[in-house]
Amino acid sequence: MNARERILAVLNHETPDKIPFTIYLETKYMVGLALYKPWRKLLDKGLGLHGAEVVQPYKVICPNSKMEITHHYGEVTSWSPVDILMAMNSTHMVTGTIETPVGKINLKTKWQDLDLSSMIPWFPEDGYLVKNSEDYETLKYLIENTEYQPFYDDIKNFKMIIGNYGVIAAFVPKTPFQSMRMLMGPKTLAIEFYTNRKEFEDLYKLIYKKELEIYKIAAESPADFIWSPDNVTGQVTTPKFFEKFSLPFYNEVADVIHKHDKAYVVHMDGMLKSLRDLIPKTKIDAIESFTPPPVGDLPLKEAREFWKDKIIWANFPESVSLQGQKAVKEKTLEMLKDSAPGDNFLMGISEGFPSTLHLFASVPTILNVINKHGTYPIS
Amino acid sequence: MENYKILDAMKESIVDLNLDKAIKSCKEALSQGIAPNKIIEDVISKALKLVGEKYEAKEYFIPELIMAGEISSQLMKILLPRLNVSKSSKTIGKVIIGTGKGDIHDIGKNIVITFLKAEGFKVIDLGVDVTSEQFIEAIKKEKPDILAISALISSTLVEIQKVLKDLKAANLKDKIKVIIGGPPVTKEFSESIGADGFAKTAIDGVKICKRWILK
Repeated sequence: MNARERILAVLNHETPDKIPFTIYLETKYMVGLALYKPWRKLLDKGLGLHGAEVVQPYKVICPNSKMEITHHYGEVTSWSPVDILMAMNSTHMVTGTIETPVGKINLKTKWQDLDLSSMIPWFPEDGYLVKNSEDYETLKYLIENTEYQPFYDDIKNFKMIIGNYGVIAAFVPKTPFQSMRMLMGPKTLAIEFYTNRKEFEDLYKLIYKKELEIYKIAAESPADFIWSPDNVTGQVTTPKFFEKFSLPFYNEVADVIHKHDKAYVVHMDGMLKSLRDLIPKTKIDAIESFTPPPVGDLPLKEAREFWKDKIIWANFPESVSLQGQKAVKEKTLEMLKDSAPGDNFLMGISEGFPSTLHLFASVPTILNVINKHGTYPIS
Repeated sequence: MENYKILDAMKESIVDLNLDKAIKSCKEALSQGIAPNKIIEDVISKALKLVGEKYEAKEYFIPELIMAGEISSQLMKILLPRLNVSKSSKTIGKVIIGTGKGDIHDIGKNIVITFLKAEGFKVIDLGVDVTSEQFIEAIKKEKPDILAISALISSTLVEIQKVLKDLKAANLKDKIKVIIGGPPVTKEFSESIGADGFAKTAIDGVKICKRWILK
């Protein structure tokens, strides 16, 4: 089997020849594969590429509104185009305004670099679009007046480029409750839920309705599967929130996605112990970026036992790399053992490592262990 | 007797995360002549301890800790201007806290601050994205008992390692206890860099700090 066949086999609940191991289709990994000698042959040795945050299956149009983004370079401002280019690639603050006929909302974030494949921006507490309930009206206008049009060309192109080395997901917005977390931040989300329940739930319902449109477009796309970048952690998306807000949407869109014979994959990279009994109630096919201890709080073996019909696409717990490659090897062996016989199981790197050097050292180690000990069925 | 009733009602409203009711009870308690110090010590601190217990029992999670912190903060805004400074509570220790360089996620740090204060600590918050140099400078100036560093992303771990190294180089490490916390922090990492303790959750971190001070 090649990497693509191996990943798709597992996502279709079929048995692979060995446990798939993937990295994201991101610039830093591509640099590693192209230039770093210990990485150059990894694709031929079975390393798979997961095109998660690469292509949106739709285009967005929001007439009558405009978004302006400003990058702040402070004292590194220069007359020299060379300096400007370097400054653009350095850490700096970014602020923005979204203006609609009913009002304005502002955002602020810190940008690490201009690598377009880097993560969705995180905001400081005063940088989220919704600072208080006064911002609801503008946000609701934006959501209600946004139109989505199918756009599948990029998916086709990327599938051609990636070939048998991997898979391309339809990159869709976080599901409604997780989107609200990103719009408000955890602090405002908690305060709004406990002090402004009706408005909070009305906003949730509006996002829910609008996102159904996007997920339907994604389900009809030529992507290999649908991937929600939810970053679920039970500490913030508590059992109460998960049951009330996440579960209904997961199940409604899973039905839509399944009608098109696609798998529904959700990025759940946080603490999942408190959600252990709720996750089986979802119609999600795969829990991607599941991170076992010492970073996560739910052991892989326990998750496998409680989520028998779910696919686990486990993230290698990145902190282990700080203990050296012997520890990385031992942890990989432990994860393989905990997943035995290995059905419904993939491994990947889907979270940031302490440094690029730790990442570059660890990926070949993990792949070598899987190639040696990860043949299905694992004994 | 009436006094106790209003204080009990106030405590209950904080634990139940009812902001409006907590503010109403607080104003009523003040109008009955109850001292602000008593409200802080007998109601807010005790209510936050109960909220912490509910967190440990997995009945409450981060949103509930945030909300309890927000209610306390709103109540303190009412109480502080009425507080007699000479009669204000003594602190049991001083903590300097911040998120490591490169990390702007401050929700865990802010929860730790709320609960440290409820336990009687004086807290100096250096904010987010704090460099090793800023930590060292603050320690020299403030002479805290404890340094607490929080991280959400694993790249911050390398920066925390640098802080510990710089503390040793500045001969400050033996003068303070260092606690590190957050999801990517592990026992192995904590031990390898010479931190005195680590915590996966805010409540655990506060417990460790209290244990150190009361020892």
